[in-house]
Amino acid sequence: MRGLALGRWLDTLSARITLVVMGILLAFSATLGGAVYTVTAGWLTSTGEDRLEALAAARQMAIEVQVARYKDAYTAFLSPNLAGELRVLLRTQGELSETARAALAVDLARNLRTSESLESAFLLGPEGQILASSRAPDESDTLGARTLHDALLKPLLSAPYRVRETWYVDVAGPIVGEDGTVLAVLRLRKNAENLLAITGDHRGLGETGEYVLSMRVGDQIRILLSTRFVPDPSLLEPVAVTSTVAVPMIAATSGQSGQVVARDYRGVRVLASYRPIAGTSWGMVVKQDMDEILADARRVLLTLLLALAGLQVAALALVFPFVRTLTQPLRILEQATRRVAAGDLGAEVPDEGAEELRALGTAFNAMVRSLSDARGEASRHEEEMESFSYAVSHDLKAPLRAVNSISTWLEEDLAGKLDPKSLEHLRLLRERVGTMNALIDGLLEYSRVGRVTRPETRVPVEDVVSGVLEVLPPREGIQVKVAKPLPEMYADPVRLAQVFQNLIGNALQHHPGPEGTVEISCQDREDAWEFSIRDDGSGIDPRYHERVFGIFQVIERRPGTESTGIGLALVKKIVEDRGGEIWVESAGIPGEGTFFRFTWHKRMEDKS
Amino acid sequence: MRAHARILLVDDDLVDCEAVLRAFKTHRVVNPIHVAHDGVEALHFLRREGAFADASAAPTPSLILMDLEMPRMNGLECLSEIKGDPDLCHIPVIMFTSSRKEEDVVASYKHGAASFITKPVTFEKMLDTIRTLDLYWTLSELP
Repeated sequence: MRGLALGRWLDTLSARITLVVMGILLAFSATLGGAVYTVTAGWLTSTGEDRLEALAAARQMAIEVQVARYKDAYTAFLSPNLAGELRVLLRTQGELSETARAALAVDLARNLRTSESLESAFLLGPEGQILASSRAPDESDTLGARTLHDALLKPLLSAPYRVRETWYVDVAGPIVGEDGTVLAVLRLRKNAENLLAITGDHRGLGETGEYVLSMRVGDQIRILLSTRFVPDPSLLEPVAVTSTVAVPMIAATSGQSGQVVARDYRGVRVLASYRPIAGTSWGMVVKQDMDEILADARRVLLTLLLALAGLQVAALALVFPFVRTLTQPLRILEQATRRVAAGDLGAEVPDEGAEELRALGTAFNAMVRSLSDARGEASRHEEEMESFSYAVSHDLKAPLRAVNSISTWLEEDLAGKLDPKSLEHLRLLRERVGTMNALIDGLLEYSRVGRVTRPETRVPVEDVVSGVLEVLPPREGIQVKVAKPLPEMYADPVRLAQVFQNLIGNALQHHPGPEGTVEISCQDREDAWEFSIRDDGSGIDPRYHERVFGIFQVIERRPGTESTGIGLALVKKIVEDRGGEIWVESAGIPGEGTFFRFTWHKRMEDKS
Repeated sequence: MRAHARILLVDDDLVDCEAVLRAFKTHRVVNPIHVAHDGVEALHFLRREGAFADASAAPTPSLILMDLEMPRMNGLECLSEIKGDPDLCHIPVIMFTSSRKEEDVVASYKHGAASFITKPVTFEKMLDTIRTLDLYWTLSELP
């Protein structure tokens, strides 16, 4: 039901115009929105690129400075006398005595104070054993075998690590004897909080930007320091170098620098600048989520779309009254057309609206006026015809009446003086006057068929037939059979009665025998009823089948009958005027009789 | 015994005149009937002019029966003359016509006709009309 109503609405002019306008506006909105978004996003991305590049360059430099300082601290620590002293001690004693260890510890502690932010210093034997330390060692001071191995070859910087909430880096390197052998490994633990100060400054990175310092270990990449969103990177799974995420980090730790839009270690799309840190195997990434970078573009787009939606509403508000100015005249025209169809030729439409609609309205009014004129003309003709018919009947009948009166007076005045022959002549005179009268009446009736119309009503044909049989009672010996039921159908009852009266009357009047049968029946022919009036009289020679329906055609004049030759012509005219057909079926053989058949079209209401 | 009321019949159609006269005769009405064949002749008779200057030749009638369609002066013109004449306006006039047009009926009554009979005029129709008009006394039948 609702779907049907929607379908009907979609079929209307207003729906079509509204949808077209809306469609144009939507396409316009989409195009404009897309263009604005593309431009804004491009601009924001390019601004972000510049910003991240600048930040990356500055931070890279700051970190490299820090790294250099760590290495300088190692050189400074080792340089004054520690190396020489150690060499002497190791050469003279082979094994360090307790006294030597204590003295070394004092030296280490003293040197520790010369350099800023050094937490502890250790001297380790080539096997990793602690030779001396600035403080009592704990479990965090153990050096891994690989680190030890590396540190025996050259000075190196460890990855930052955390001990008791503080970040440290180790700087470790060999102490080489005069003969080139490695005497010991010096390991300095240095506070690395200043690195964190560099990577923990998120100014210029919005809400989602961060610095990530990472290092490649074998086939994996590890994040080195706390980041903005990862306080403890040791809890993170290391990233494989073949990973499709953390692309900037992998590139940075491979010694590359550049900028990319890619997925970071979280799998989030970011804009990232990446740099290697010189003198280390570290890489640095500065990144910010693309979502945030483009947030302004999205805000602009949203604002624009809201504005365009407002425009749509405003357009609708304008379109509806506009559409009404189109559809209203059409509705008025439709109603006026219906009124005209219903016969109201006074219907006019107002001369307003768009030019084309006005033209349509003007044309409609002109059409109605010319229809009205034509109808006026037709009704004038009709009136003329009616008054002509009246004049004919009146003026033709008046002399007949006079002749009739005079013949009667003659008979009265000459009563007893006229011989039977003259009396018979007077009777014949009056009989012919009667025939003439009937002819005039018949002719008038004939001219009225199709010209003078009455509204059709639903007529029970049985009633019509029985009415006719009351007026035309069959003479003795003639039997009339009505094959009931006869239908009920739309007809002008007077005309239909004329049809049956003439056909039945014809059958009764022309029946030659003392005994006979007249049958009335009906058959349903879908679009029409076919009626049949059959007699078993003398039949009609096929030569005369067409002529019987001609006006004034009297095939067989029978004494005592007032056959005018109009009856069957009248019937034919009535039947054909209503779109039906009438015909005779007879072989012309006495006793086999005649069929008069005619069809009467059903109206739509009759069919259902 | 009072004199029979006189009737003036105005009709140009001789057959129609004859029909009325015969109807009266058939029904033994003995009132003297004078026939005029058009409006002009009727007015001459009523006003005793021309051929009817002799008063004895043209006694005033008690009832006028007049056809509508006549040459020289038609029924309506004659009727309005009669009704406009203070000496004649009291005489009841019954109009005859073969016309069935409504405007003729309306015009007749408007000009002062007492009644209206459509042709063919039969005695029964006349009697009915006369009775309706309460003019029954005007018809005198033979005992």
